[in-house]
Amino acid sequence: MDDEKVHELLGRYRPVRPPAGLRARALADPMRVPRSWPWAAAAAALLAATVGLHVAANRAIGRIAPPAAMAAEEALAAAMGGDDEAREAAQLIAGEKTFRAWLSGVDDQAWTIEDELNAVK
Amino acid sequence: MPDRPRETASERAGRLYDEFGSSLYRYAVILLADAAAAEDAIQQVFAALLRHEEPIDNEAHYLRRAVRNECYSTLRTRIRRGEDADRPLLEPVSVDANHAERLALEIAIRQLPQEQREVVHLHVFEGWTFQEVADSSGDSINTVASRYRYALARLRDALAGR
Repeated sequence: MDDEKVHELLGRYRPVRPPAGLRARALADPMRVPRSWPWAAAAAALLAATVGLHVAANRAIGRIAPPAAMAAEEALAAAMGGDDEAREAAQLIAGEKTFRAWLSGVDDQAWTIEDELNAVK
Repeated sequence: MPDRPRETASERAGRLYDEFGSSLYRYAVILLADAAAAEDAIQQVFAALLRHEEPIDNEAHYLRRAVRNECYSTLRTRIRRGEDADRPLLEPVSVDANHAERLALEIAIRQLPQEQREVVHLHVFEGWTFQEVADSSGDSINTVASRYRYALARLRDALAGR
């Protein structure tokens, strides 16, 4: 094989074309995102996590720690019949009360239950 | 100053990819002898271009230089990937081409030193004169011509058994 043959051989080919997706990948710089959005998204995620943890913690505390809250929930369940359905309903109401108390800035879990008791009596 | 209305960096990068992307990729494929690494190089260059807000005087020259620098940087530091040989470097442009011939030519091209691959690419596939190659690489025209001669001799030897 001489140089002319090598030239002929090279002339039958060319380097491959770029794959179809390369343009999109080349022009999608992951570091180049609008600057406000990452911070807003991070802040929103942090807020959601904080609220979720706080609510979960308050519910757990309300169920376990403050005797007054537990007693109120039990009293409510008893007032509604004392069966499983009544206990579930009382748990839901207690959860809602805990959440509302947290939203209004009242962290005291010893919420009163008079209104609920009066309502079911 | 160019007459063109002021583009964003993103608009400019898209326009330059459409104008030069294919040619730059083909150059990187041969220089690196590795299609996957060529993709990486092109992505790196355009990622940098997206962050480059200033005007560019000679866009073709700028991009060619950027891809060349990126490829040589890759060649200095890379660990060869096992899948290199799985992706072709060449595609046929003639009905006389055939698979076995292409594979043999690719193997021969991969065995060339990078400087010789570059000269073969620019002179044969892009039709540059030796002077243009020399101007681009900063080497003398004699050096470029010698590289080309050595490259042809190596290719001839590698393909001699065919």
